[in-house]
Amino acid sequence: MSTKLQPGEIRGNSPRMERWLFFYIPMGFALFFLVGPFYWMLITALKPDSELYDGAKSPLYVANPSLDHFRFLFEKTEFVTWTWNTMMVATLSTAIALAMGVPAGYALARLRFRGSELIGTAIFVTYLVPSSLLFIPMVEVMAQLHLDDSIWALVVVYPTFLVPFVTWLMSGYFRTIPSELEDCARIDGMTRLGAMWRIAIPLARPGILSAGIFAFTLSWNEFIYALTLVTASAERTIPVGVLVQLTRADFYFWGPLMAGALLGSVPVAIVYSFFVDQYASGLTAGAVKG
Amino acid sequence: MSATVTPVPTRRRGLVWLIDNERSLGYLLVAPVVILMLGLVAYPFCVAVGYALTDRTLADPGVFVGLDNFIDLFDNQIYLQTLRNTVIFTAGSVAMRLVFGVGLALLLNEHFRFRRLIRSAVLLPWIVPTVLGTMAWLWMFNPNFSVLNWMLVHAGLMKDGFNWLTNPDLALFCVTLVNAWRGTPFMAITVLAGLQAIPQDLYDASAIDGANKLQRFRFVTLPLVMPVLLTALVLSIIWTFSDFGIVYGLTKGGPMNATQVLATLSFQQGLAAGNIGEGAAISLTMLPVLLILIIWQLRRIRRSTVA
Amino acid sequence: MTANRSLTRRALIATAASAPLAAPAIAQNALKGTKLTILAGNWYVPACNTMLDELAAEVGKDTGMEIRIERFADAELATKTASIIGTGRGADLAVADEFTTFLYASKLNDVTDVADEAGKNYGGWQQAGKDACVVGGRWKSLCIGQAPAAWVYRTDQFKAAGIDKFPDTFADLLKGAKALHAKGTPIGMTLGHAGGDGRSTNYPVLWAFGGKEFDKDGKVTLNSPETLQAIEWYKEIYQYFVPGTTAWLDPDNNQAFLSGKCSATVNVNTIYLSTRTAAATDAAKKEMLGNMDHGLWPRGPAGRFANYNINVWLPFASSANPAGQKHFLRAWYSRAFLPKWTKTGQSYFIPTFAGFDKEDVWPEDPKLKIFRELNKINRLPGYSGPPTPAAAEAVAKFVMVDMFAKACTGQLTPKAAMDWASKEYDQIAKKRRA
Repeated sequence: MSTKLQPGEIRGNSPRMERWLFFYIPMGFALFFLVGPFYWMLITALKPDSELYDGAKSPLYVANPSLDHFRFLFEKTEFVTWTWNTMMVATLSTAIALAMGVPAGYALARLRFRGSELIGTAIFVTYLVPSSLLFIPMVEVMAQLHLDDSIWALVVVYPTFLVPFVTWLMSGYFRTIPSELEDCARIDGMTRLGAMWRIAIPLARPGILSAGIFAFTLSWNEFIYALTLVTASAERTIPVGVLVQLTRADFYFWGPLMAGALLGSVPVAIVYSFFVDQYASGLTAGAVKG
Repeated sequence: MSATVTPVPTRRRGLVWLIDNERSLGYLLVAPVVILMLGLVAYPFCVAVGYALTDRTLADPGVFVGLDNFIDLFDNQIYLQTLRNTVIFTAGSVAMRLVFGVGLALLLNEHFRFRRLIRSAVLLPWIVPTVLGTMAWLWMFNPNFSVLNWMLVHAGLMKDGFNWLTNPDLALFCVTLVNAWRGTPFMAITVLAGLQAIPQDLYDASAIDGANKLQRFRFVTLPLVMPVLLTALVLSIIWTFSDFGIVYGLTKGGPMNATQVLATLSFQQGLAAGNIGEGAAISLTMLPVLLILIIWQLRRIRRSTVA
Repeated sequence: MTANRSLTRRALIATAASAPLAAPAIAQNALKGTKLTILAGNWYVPACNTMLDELAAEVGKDTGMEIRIERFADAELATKTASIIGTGRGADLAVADEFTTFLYASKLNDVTDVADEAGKNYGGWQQAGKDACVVGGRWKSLCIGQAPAAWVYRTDQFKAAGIDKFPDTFADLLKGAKALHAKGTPIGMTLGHAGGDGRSTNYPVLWAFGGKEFDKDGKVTLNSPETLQAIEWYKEIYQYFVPGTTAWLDPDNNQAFLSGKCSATVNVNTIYLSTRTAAATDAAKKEMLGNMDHGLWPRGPAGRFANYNINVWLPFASSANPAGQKHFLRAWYSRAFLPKWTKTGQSYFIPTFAGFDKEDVWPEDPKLKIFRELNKINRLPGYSGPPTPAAAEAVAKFVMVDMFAKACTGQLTPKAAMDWASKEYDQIAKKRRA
């Protein structure tokens, strides 16, 4: 982070009142709205059942915190397997999406070839086709590819909605990078592919990082395909596994559900916290010129 | 632009030509994406369009019925209500994201302690898997154990609390709010990045010209953030318009279809009720709106890039 | 998984004993090495789930068939089943709701022979079982059982409101609800999009007043003075409900009752069973248990009715292993398994066999006795017509629940709510006939 003065920053001589009115109170409200539910998840996850359903006790703190719900999650469900699956699917599909989308984005931004505009538009339009429309034919396609009922089906399908976005973002990002360096390299005898690989892609790292994080998040969250394409419990991802194992017709296991939701998001958030600045700048640069 | 540079005139053949010629390399680089899209989006899409033109059910391939499915939809009260809900849901959520997101971006742009921590923390709603985050809200809206009601009652603001998901209007508000909760971090972080890209000189200059804070926001910040903002806006509209997880998790479309949106209705008709044709038709009616948005967005970007 | 382990062990023994003769050994047992994937939900009584696992392991051991059980929550189980019907991929057998039989009949295997044998075992199938499974004279699914829902109520709170036993007429129930509401202990009936309770709570009211969705020929007859009466009764009693019932999903009436916020509701035996389990360690629950009982649906002008979720085994026609399907189903309906399983569930599910009246399958707990009576007043959605895809679709769309809810909340007048629902039914029927 830069330490220079930021626009809109309230400087030291501003009255305290103003700081409260325009900063602390709105920030408090924002945190309450955005992070409050996570506090609630944590409380629920730590509360023993006897306390959870007792209307007389305050819901906002735990009198006797216990790790029972977490234990339940690890011992009575396949949470560890689901986490592993989700990591695998998200990582691999993100890698595929980047491997396909980054070069395509480069081509659309830098190279002139007939139909490039049309292809660019077409790729992005596919992003619009809702999965609620596609999943039934998709199950058949996966069956034909002999990929049904395993996480590999998801690894193949997720790039369909990741690639358009990555391509679009990256083509925007490449446009923000001056092309002179690549031109020089080519004069020095590098091929176009070489110039892309050695010069442009390293320069586009923040954009790639953004696109990657973005793709990772989307795959981490996906639900419809993960539900319809996979049957085996050992092949499920976190969202599906937690939901279908911990909600029953007449009973929701609120404690383990919330424990699962927390464990399914907080670790990722911690990893993201290291990249959040680059992520944001890469995203904006790419998005504006996309 | 690289495209205008004439390559060094050497004779290149075969593989080298392939990776050095602008056209061939272009096709080579987009080919994998095009193949993936043709095979796994265009093909199933065409199959789905085919479904929409038949009265196919899960158990019966059905016969060609032309546009009957679409015509029937516009005579169907549930569909019309759903269409209305979807528009309110999208407009409401995007408006909330805009207000909260821009507000939060401005706040995060200030200097304060624990800035990095807070900036990561506010990303959480966007990271948590949608259906699980929605479960937390379901638990907060629980008819019997709502913590929100508990707070309202104990703060002395209400006697009984709200029937969050019972009252049709309130339920639609709730699903919209949860969607905004999920989308606000993305908006905030994107806008924040836009804010940080604004050169400080511009503010200094406008300060010298005597502009006050509000004027600086209006004449410096806003115009420069606008392109980012619009992009984030269009993306938000696309995501919200076709959103499935939040309504599925909170209400499954109830009470009385008051929160039914196109994605959940399509899922319910196509799968639960087994009318694949009708379900596909419902999903397809989402496309025109999205298409218009996208074309507008792409046009706008092209104009700005050319300029 | 036990099934896998024993399979490997058997395989090992087989290889060790007769390695060169492996091929004939397979021929001796047609199912050896085949696969069977079963989709199931989570039945409320955990032991019932365990028994299914054990049965699978046992059948696997006997036949050398590799049996896998995959469990889903109810909503997702239905989704998954639908997707298998649509695509023919994913599993061989599934536990499902009864109306899936009619929706998917053409994609299900004929299991009439297994049904006949099972019927012979237990004194014949009851009507509800046949209604749930027979399409065009052939058995397309096999009834696992009905999950009977009764009124569960707090005897202490009822007494405090001056009601000594559970009301026997709808007028008395209304009166009772009013008195309970005045005492601050209201009752509640599910009016939300709940897959189970939404049905079992709302169809009985319609029928008891003489309202019917369809006549005997399957013509839509919802628009009638009787239906209007039912809606008006509902609208009146709704004012005395616990707030929030139009958002109730399946778990919510349980929670409301268990937390003491609701003095009576319609549910399967799970509220009672969970209280009984908790009572062992929890003094408050023990007290509640002593003050709980079950009541029958009241008698309406047209009689006494109930509607329950029925679970069936769906044999997917897309299965590559129809012989394995039948073999497993035979094991399920065997005398060694089914009575024991039924008793374990304590009337959570009651198989629809006439002979079960005489079997030792009933819970000893006197407060669960009433469930034995419930199988006799049950009707399927679509009554008095035959169960049809149209009736099933109306269930999936929650038309009945919404009809009552729209009137109760005042969103529509009772008449307008009925007209709305009739129009929905007409549209469904038109499409399903076409």
